[in-house]
Amino acid sequence: MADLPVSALVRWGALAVLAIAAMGVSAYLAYSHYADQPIVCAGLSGCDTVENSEYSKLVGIPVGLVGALFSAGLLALVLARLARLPLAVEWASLAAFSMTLSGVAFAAYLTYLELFVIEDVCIWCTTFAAIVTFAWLITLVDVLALARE
Amino acid sequence: MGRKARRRREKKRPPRVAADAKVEVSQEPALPPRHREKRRPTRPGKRLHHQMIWASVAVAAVVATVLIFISLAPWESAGGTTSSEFIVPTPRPADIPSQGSTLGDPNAPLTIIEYSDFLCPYCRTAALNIVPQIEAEYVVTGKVKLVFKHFVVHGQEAALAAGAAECAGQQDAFWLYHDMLFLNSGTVDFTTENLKQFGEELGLDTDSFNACLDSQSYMDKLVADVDEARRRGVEGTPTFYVGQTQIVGAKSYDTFQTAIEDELAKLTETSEEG
Repeated sequence: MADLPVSALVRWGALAVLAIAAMGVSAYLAYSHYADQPIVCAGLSGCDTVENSEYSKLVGIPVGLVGALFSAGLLALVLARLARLPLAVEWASLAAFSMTLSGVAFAAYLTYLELFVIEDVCIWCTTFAAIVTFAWLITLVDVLALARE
Repeated sequence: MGRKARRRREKKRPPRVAADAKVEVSQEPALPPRHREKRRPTRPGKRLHHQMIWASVAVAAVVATVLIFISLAPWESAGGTTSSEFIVPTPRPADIPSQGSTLGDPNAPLTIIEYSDFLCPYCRTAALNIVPQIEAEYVVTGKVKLVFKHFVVHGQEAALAAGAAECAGQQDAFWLYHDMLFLNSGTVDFTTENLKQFGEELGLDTDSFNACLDSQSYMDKLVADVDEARRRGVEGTPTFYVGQTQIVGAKSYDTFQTAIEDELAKLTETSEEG
């Protein structure tokens, strides 16, 4: 990790942890969709309502699966950066920043739908949105740190 | 030490420079240009300008906008229709008797009671995927009768839908209306207006159906069903009672089949002993 200062290493490590957590959350949502199982919802009732709403799919693909693919992509990017692949060294910071920012924007839109259109909140979706937001903040710090160099 | 000696020593010392500059001068090997080019990628951010950050923000905005547009576009799943239309069920064969919310031969040896909510997604799964198999194998053959009871957990809209089904039941169309509700659950809002349109689509006597819906004369039945469910310990939907066997959730058909066969076997044993 000769090219990564400790602070950057911490940032990318945290991103890896968040990507794995996001992948776990969204993979569970995707599993419950395909296995047709009720979602464990922390005593709340909103998960199934949200998961079965007309907004829970993108061109027929469950949003949970889209989230899992997104998280897997982010994790791959982080691992490529940590492995110092040349292209990743050059572009991973910007790519992760752009990727997580689009994730935050889309998660914000889905949260808006939950609150004001579906009028039910899915705790798993909220958790995913929170994880992506944290990930975006980390990439923002990383990009700003690089811009200052 | 004399002044002359000190001056002589200072002349011998190299000129003072900043420590980091000294490191740069002394430690940076004089690499040929080719090698310097190779090392550039190991210094990330060196070429990261503000324009590039804004460009990545723009890319993110475009991606998010595209995703939002895709999610708003109507998507037609297999066998479904867009949300602006209703899905109308196929009526059951006339030889399957139904009375109110009971489907099947009233004298069938085994009764399956389902506590359900028309807005519950797993009730929908059960109604569209499992119940038809039970009907085909056990109700048509007169071994089982199905009784639908309301356990309203999804609020006012679900209660209105349950009431509409009861109103349809007054015209012996409970199960047809039940199918209509579940087929359209999640894509059509169960407003009074839409529920009345459902009745019209199904060819019900709309005057009496609409009057029933407006008067909320179904309310006592809903309250009685929910109270009964609570007394039996129902905690969620769908909950089935196959005879005395409780099945919670939209379990596989195999689970139901096993429970039905077990209960039928028990009934046979009891009748043989009697």
